[in-house]
Amino acid sequence: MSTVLDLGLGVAVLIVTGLSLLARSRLVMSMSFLVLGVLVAIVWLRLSSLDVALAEAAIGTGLLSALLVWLAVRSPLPPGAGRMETSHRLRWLRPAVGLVAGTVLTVVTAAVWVRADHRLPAWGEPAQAQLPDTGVEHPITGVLLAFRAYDTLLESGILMLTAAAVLALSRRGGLSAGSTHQLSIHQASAALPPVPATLSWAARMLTPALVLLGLWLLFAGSTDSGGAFQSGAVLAAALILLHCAQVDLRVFQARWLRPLLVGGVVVFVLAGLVGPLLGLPWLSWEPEWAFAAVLVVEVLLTAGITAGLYALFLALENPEGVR
Amino acid sequence: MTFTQFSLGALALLPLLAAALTMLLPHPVRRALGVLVALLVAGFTAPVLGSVTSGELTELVLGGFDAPLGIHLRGDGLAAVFLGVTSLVGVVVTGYAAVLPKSTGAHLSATSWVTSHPGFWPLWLGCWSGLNAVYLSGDLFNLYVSLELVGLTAVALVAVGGQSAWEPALRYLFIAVLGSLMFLAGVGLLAAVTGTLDLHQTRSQLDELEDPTLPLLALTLITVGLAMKVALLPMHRWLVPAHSAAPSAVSPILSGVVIKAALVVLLRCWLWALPAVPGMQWLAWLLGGLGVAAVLVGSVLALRQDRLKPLVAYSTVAQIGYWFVAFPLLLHGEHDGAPLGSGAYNGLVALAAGHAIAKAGLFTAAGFLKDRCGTDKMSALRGAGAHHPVLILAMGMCAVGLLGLPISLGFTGKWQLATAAVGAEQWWVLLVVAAGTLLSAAYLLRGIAPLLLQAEVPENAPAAGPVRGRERLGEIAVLIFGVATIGTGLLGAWLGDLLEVGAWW
Amino acid sequence: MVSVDTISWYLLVSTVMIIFGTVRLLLVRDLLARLIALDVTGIGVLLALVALAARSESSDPVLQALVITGLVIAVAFTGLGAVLIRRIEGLREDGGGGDRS
Repeated sequence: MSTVLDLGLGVAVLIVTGLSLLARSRLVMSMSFLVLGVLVAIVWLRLSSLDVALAEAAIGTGLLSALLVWLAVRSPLPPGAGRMETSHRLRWLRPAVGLVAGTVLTVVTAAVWVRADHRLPAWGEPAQAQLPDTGVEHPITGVLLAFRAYDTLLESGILMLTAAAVLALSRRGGLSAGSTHQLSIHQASAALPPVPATLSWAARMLTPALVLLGLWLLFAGSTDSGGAFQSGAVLAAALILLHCAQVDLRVFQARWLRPLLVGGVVVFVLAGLVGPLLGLPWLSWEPEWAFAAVLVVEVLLTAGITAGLYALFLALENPEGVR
Repeated sequence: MTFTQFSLGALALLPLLAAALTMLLPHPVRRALGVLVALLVAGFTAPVLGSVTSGELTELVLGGFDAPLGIHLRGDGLAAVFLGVTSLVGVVVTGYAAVLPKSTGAHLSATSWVTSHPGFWPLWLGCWSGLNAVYLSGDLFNLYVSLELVGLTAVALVAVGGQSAWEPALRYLFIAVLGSLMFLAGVGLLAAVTGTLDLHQTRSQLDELEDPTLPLLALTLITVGLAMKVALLPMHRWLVPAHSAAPSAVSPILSGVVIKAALVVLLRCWLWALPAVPGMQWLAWLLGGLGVAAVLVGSVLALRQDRLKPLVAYSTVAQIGYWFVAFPLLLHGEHDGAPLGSGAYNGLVALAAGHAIAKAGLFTAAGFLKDRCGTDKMSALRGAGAHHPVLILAMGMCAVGLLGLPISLGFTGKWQLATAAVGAEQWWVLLVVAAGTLLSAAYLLRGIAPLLLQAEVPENAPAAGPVRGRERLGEIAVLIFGVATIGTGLLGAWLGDLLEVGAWW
Repeated sequence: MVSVDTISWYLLVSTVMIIFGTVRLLLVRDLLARLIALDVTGIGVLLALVALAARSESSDPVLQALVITGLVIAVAFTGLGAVLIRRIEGLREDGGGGDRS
């Protein structure tokens, strides 16, 4: 039973992969990619990785693919979309070489994979033994915010600097305009098309539900599946929905977007500094206050992720920085 | 916890914290904070260099969780050398950018394009944090995360150069991410058979492994991915547009230190993470062959440029070749007690470190002239040297380093490489080094000579305007690079001692 | 606990995704198609890691955490790439105007 399900799921993934790689139209491409995200989330459930499935559904499919689809809708047909980069003679050569090379590589790699003598990770036992010291019960949260907190810190730095980069590509390099303290992103762009009243109402009704879901994912993270990244993605979706329903978020954007964006990283580094002040290594949490530290860091990280993803959306939506 | 251990963490985390804080500040304050942080980072580099000089390897277990569960930071010889070089380049470039803000890019104000870009500061400090994290990391997955931090900020730093830089930045992004994904796939393969991500533990686990195919496949993936990021020929085509379209304060960072981050990871994987696996020699010879091609093709292409920044960028492509020429020699076995590979390794690191300083100087100078004259076309720069004698002198000193003339690290590196080649009876290396040196003399002359020509500069040309005090300070930055290029040439022996600390043999 | 055959099957699927994503990335010209090809490659790599995590009893938390980290990094890069594409194409629609050419 399970084998048939896995076979079918794998084949479906491959077909949709093919569609999203080979489609000529941008819309088909990005829609297939969205479907691919959904399928992969199911695969991850099959492989009993609920947390990853949640993250994929929230960040990968829910937000990212939606943004790509949105990009495809906005500029559907640039010159030469979907065509291979090729000269006029021997038009078939590049795809053919690509196909042959790809197939050969796949066969070779797969042969090595299958023959390999796998060894189970050596970190299984220490992870279980030291989990109580971290103050959280859910092992994945423990890994993300205690055992490998350094990776998570650098990664939230990446997300923060991505937001910094897209702000830098906006008008005034993302700085506030003079004395107004307004973030100069999406201030003077063209008026949005009118939104049907029902959509606007639906968005307003849906937002509280999304916020609740986001907060639940956040606080569930210490004992159960969920965590900062999944929660941040859902909260960012709520903000985007409000924005699309033309709720005025300009004051929020101007005053709170950047402080929220950097707050998570700043507090994470400062929390990491507490260890050295007590004579411990960087990023150590003492068992007595580990839970408090992890919780504070996680809440602020969530806010930072929300702000970062929302900033990405704003920069993408707004063609400023060109003219 | 000792202060040196504290410094290991601070080197990675302090610039990240500063990057976050600069995002909240107005532009002039960003510049001041940037300079302050640069000096602090250099200050934290000192204890690490000091303890490595005294022959001590510093290790920090982050959070107190031992490998394989947690992450170790290791301040060994390789890390110390690149931390030092990056601090030097970082401090000087930071000062240059603070003094001459127009070198930091171009942004759109309310109405028009303005030179200077406030976004440079958080991105550059974030990049520095990633670079230090790469040098110190002792964990394969953490190397991936750190490399991505460097890659993302480097792409964004290219993009702040204005409209003409967006396409090169996007092209760079595709290659940088593809390279990291290949690296990650290789790391996944290794973790599947070793059950650990720690560099040292990976090696001891692989030692017990009988079938070498999988480590070899993993190493191939890792090498291809990182060679893309280092821009080894034929995967070099993204480098030239990205490095020449980047703002003046960014090109020296990219060519000087960012590509070295991928090189350090490559060395970590080849020499630390994997034991000598049968079949590795083939891969090393392939890299060596590509290195030879890069030295020759890169130099010839540099000769054919008519603009200064692309010429300097192609010279980077050529210099990258030397590092890979050393790869086949790295794997040679014992010779008179010491591993023969160590000579080639010392040569490789000396070449890369010397290149970082000299190329940062040359790119800063090229960017300076481009900013001042409004173009980097060599025909338009004729006679530009008349107003900038200090700049020309400094460019000459950097050129000595790139050529590998005594006294410079470039010379030390080529000498050690040639000695290792003679020891291994690989005479072709000498031919490549000689040909590369002659070709680089030709293209450097082609780049610098027009500046010295006596030419009538039209009265109204921007180059004829009076040189402001700030610009004189900018010239000093290039002079520091020039002096450092020559000065570090005296440190060859010290470099060899440093590299012995925590080496793989 | 997932059976060995299932894991091998998903490893095969992930290999196909990685390789053909890479090939398409290197051959196609359209910028959005390239970005999507890059993401397909990324999903392939992460799929391999999740499959490896599933080998342990009750799926290995460390590898899952690594995958979440990788996913967020992929999102960050895709976001920056998408914004750059939007800017570049906005520039083309504009006729390439601007005082910095």
